[in-house]
Amino acid sequence: MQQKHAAADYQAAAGNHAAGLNTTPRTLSRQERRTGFGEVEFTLTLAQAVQEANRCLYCYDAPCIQGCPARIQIPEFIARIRSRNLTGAAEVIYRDNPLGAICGRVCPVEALCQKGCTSCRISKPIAIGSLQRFVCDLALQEGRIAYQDEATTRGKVAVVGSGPAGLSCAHYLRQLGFNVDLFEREELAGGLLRWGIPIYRLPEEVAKREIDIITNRVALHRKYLLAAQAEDFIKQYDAIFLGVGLSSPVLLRTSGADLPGVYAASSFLRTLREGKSGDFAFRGKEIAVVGGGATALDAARSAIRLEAAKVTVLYRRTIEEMPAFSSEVEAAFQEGVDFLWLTSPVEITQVDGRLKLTLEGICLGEPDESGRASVIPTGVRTNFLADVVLVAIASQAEPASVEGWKDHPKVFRGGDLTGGATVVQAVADGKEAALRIISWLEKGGSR
Amino acid sequence: MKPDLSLTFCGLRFPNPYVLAAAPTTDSADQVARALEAGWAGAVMKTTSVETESVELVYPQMGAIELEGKKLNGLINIDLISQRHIDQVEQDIRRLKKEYPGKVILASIMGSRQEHWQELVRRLEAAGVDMIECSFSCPHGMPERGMGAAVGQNPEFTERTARWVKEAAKRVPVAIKLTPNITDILPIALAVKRSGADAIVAINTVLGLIGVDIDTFSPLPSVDGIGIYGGFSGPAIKPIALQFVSKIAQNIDLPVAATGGICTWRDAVEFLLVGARNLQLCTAPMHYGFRIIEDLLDGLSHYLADKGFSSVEEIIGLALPKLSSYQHLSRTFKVVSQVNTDVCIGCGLCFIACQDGAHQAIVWDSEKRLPRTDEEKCVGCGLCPQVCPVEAITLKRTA
Ligand SMILES: Cc1cc2nc3c(=O)[nH]c(=O)nc-3n(C[C@H](O)[C@H](O)[C@H](O)COP(=O)(O)OP(=O)(O)OC[C@H]3O[C@@H](n4cnc5c(N)ncnc54)[C@H](O)[C@@H]3O)c2cc1C
Ligand SMILES: Cc1cc2nc3c(=O)[nH]c(=O)nc-3n(C[C@H](O)[C@H](O)[C@H](O)COP(=O)(O)O)c2cc1C
Ligand code: SF4
Ligand code: SF4
Ligand code: SF4
Repeated sequence: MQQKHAAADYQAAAGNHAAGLNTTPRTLSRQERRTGFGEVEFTLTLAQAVQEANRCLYCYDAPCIQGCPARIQIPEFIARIRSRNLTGAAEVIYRDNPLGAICGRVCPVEALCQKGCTSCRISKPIAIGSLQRFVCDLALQEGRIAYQDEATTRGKVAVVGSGPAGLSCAHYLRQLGFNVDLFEREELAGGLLRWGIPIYRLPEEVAKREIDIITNRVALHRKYLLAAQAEDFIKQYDAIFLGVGLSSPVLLRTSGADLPGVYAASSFLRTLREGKSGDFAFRGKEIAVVGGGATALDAARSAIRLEAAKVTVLYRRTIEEMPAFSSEVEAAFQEGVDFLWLTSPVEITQVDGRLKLTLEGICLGEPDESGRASVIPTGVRTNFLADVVLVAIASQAEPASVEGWKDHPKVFRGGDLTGGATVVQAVADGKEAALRIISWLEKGGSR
Repeated sequence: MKPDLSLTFCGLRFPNPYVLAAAPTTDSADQVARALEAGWAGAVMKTTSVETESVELVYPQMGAIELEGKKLNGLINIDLISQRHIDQVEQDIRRLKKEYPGKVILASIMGSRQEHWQELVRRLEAAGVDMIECSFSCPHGMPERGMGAAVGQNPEFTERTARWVKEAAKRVPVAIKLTPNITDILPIALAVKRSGADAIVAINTVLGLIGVDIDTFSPLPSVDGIGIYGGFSGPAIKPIALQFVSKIAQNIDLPVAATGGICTWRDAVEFLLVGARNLQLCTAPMHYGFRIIEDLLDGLSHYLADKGFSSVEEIIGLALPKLSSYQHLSRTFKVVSQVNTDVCIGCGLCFIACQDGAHQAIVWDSEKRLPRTDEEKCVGCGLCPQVCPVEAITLKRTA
C-alpha cells in the first residue's frame, strides 16, 4: 500500500514535469486532466513558433514531406514562419490539406512527418504538428481561409460519408469545378472528427470551423445511403466516392458481453461528444477497457477525466504490438491509466452488483497473417473486478453501406474503408480520389 | 485582388522586382532558365569581358560567418568574373530571350580599355540583351589590373568609362554597378549622372577578410595556405546597402537597383521603401536555391494587400521623407522600457544587457525570475528590446 502511494506520487511529479508548464507547447497538468475535458495541448505562441521554425534546416528533398500522407510542403511553410509570412504559410498547408488545424492536433506525427526529420540527428525533431497547428489556428482566427473555387462546369459527383476522406474528396472536386452532393447519415458532418476523437484532443469549435468551410461550398444532404440504391446513383452521377469508414463496432463474443455495464467504447465516446457526459457516473468507479487501439486509449483517457478511481486497459498482446499511437499511450500513462498485457476476457458475470471478468493468460507465437505475433491462450485464468467494461476491440464496415456497390468503374473509395487508420490518410485518399476521378473523366470515363 | 508586382525600370517592364544578380547563379543559360521558370523576373548574366581580359580562377573561393547555430549570415568570395568565353554568353542570351520573351535579361560587363568596353556593348546588344550593367565595383583581383573597384573609386574614371559605354549602346539602357568601398558615394554617383548613364546598381560586395584559421594561421578562404581579402555579401551587409541605396535615391536623379543583403520579402520591402526600383539577389539564392522566389513573391504580395496597396510601385520611396539628419531629431521625445511579464520567459538577457551595456535600469527578481524597469534610471536607449528573445519588451512613450 505504502509502495503504491510512492509510485503514484512519482507518477504525478513526472506527469507535471513532462506534461505541464515546462513543455513546448504548454500542456495541461496531470491534475487538470484528471478533472475535465479541456484541450491538453496549447497552441504555440508566435515567439515559440519562430524559434522552432528557426531550428528547421530547410532540407532539400525533405524527408518530412515523404512522411506526410497528404504531402504538405513542410519546409516551405516553416520557412514562411521564419520570415513571418504567416498567410503564405497557411496557403502552403491548405493547398495540400484542407483539415490543417485538425491534423496539426490529431496526426500521430511521431510515426509520420517527424519520424524522419533531419533535425533528429542533431537534437530532436522539429515540432511540425505544433507549427502546422499554430499557422492554421491563426489563419482561421483571422478568417484568412478563402478558397477560389472554379465555376461548376465539369460534372456532378456524389460523395458518400462526410468523414475526413469524404470531406477532402468533396473539397478538391468542388475547388476544381464540380458539383458535389455530399451524403451523410448523421446530423453533423465530420465522421469520427465529430463522433470519435474526444474534445480534449480535438475541440468541437476547431473541428466545426474546418468542416464548415468545406460543407458550405457543396450540397450536404442528410441521408443514410443504402448500397441498395447503388444502381440509381450510378445512373445519376458522373462518379461516386465512398468514404463511409468502418462504422460498426465489433462486439465481444464472450458470455456476459450483453450485461448492463458493458458498453461499446465507440458509443461511450460518441455520447461524450454529444455533450452527455452526465450519462456516465464514473466518479470513484473502476473501469476496464478491452482493446489496444485508438478507441481503447481514448475511452480510457476519457474515463480518467470522469474521475474514475481506476482505469485499466486489458490488451491481449504487449505494448510493442499495440496499434494505438505511442504519443497516446504515453499520455495515458501520464494520466494514470493502468495496463494489463497478455490477457483476454473469456467470460463476464455479475457479482454483488459488480462485473467479474474471467481473464485468460496469453503467450505470443509466430507472426500471423496480419504480421503481428499470434495469440496463444495459456489456459491460466484469473479474475478481475470492475464496475464498467468498455469494449474497443475493432470496427468493421457496415454491410448495408457497402455491399452492393460492386466494382463499378464509376465508384471510387478511400479512408478507413480501404485500410486507412488516420485522419491524414483519409484526407490524402480523398484528394487522390478527386484527382483520379478527374483524370478518369478526362479520358472519357475509361480506366 | 492580387497586388500588381510588376515594375518599370529604365523603360523595361519587369514582371516582379526580383532579379538574379551577376554571380555563379547566372553563369549558364540552364541555371537562369530554371530560375525564370521558378518565377524570377530576370537575371544579370555573370560578368563577362573580351577574350584578352580572360581570368584564371582559384579555389576554394568561399567563406562564411556563422552565428548562433546559423551557418551563413554573411558570405565572402574570391571569385572573379566569368571564366567562360564571351561567345557562350552571347549564345545564352539568344536562347534565354527566345525562350523567355516576357523576362528581362541583363549582361554585366567589365573591361580596361575603351575599345573593350565598346566592343562588349556592341556584341551583347547584337545578341539581344535587354540592358547592360557595368561592373565598376569588384573589390578583389580586378583592381590590381586597373579594373572593377579601381574605376568605381574614382569619379573621373567612372564618368569617362560610363560615357564610353553609353556612346556604344544604341538600343539598350546602361546601368553602373558601384562599390561601397569608398568614403562617400555621392561624388561617384554624381559622376554616373553626368555621364548620361541610365541607372545605378548599388552595392557590390564589401571588401573584407572573413576569418583566420586558428590552427594553421592562414587567412580564409585559404588557397594552399595563402589568403587574400574578398568580397563580403549576404544578410550581414544589408544595413550598409540600405544606407547607400537610400542616400543615392535621396540625392541623385537616377533610378536605383538595390543589391546587398536582400534575403527575404521583408528585406525587399525595406529596399523599396528607401527608393529602390529593382532588386538583385545573390547570396540568398546561392544559399537556398531559386525556390526562395515563392516566399519572396507571396510574402510581398500579402504584405501589399494587407497594407491596402494595389501595386508595388506605390511603396517605392515612402520612407525617404522620414530619413533625416541628427540635428533634426526631437530633443523632447522620451521613452522608457516596459516588460510584459505575461510574455517574459525569464531568460534574464535584458537584465544583463542593461547592467553591463547600458544604464543599470533593470531590476532582477531572482526568486520569480522576472525583470522590472526602474523608470527613474532608464534613459530609453533601446538596447533591451533588441536582446529579448520573445519580444516581451516595448518602449513606452512618456513625453
Ligand atoms: C476514438 C478514435 C480516435 C482516433 N484518433 C485519431 C487520431 O488521433 N489521429 C488520427 O489521425 N486518426 C485517429 N483516428 C482514426 C480516424 O478517425 C479515421 O482514420 C478517420 O476518421 C477515417 O476517415 P473516413 O472518412 O474514412 O471515415 P469516418 O471518419 O469514419 O467517416 C465516415 C462517415 O461516413 C458516414 N456514413 C457511413 N455510412 C454511411 C451511409 N451509408 N450513408 C451516409 N453516410 C454514411 C458516417 O456517418 C461517417 O460520418 C481515431 C479513430 C477513433 C475511432
Ligand atoms: C553604441 C556604440 C558607440 C560607439 N561609439 C564609438 C566612439 O565614440 N568612438 C569610436 O571610435 N568608436 C565607437 N564605436 C565603434 C566601436 O569602437 C567598434 O569599433 C565597432 O563597434 C566595431 O566593433 P564590433 O562590431 O566588434 O563591436 C561605437 C560602437 C557602438 C556599438
Ligand atoms: S526534415 Fe525536419 S529539419 Fe528538415 S525540412 Fe523537414 S522539418 Fe525541417
Ligand atoms: S532602454 Fe536602455 S536604459 Fe532603458 S532599460 Fe533598456 S537598456 Fe536600460
Ligand atoms: S529578455 Fe525578454 S524574456 Fe528574457 S527576461 Fe528579459 S523580458 Fe523576459
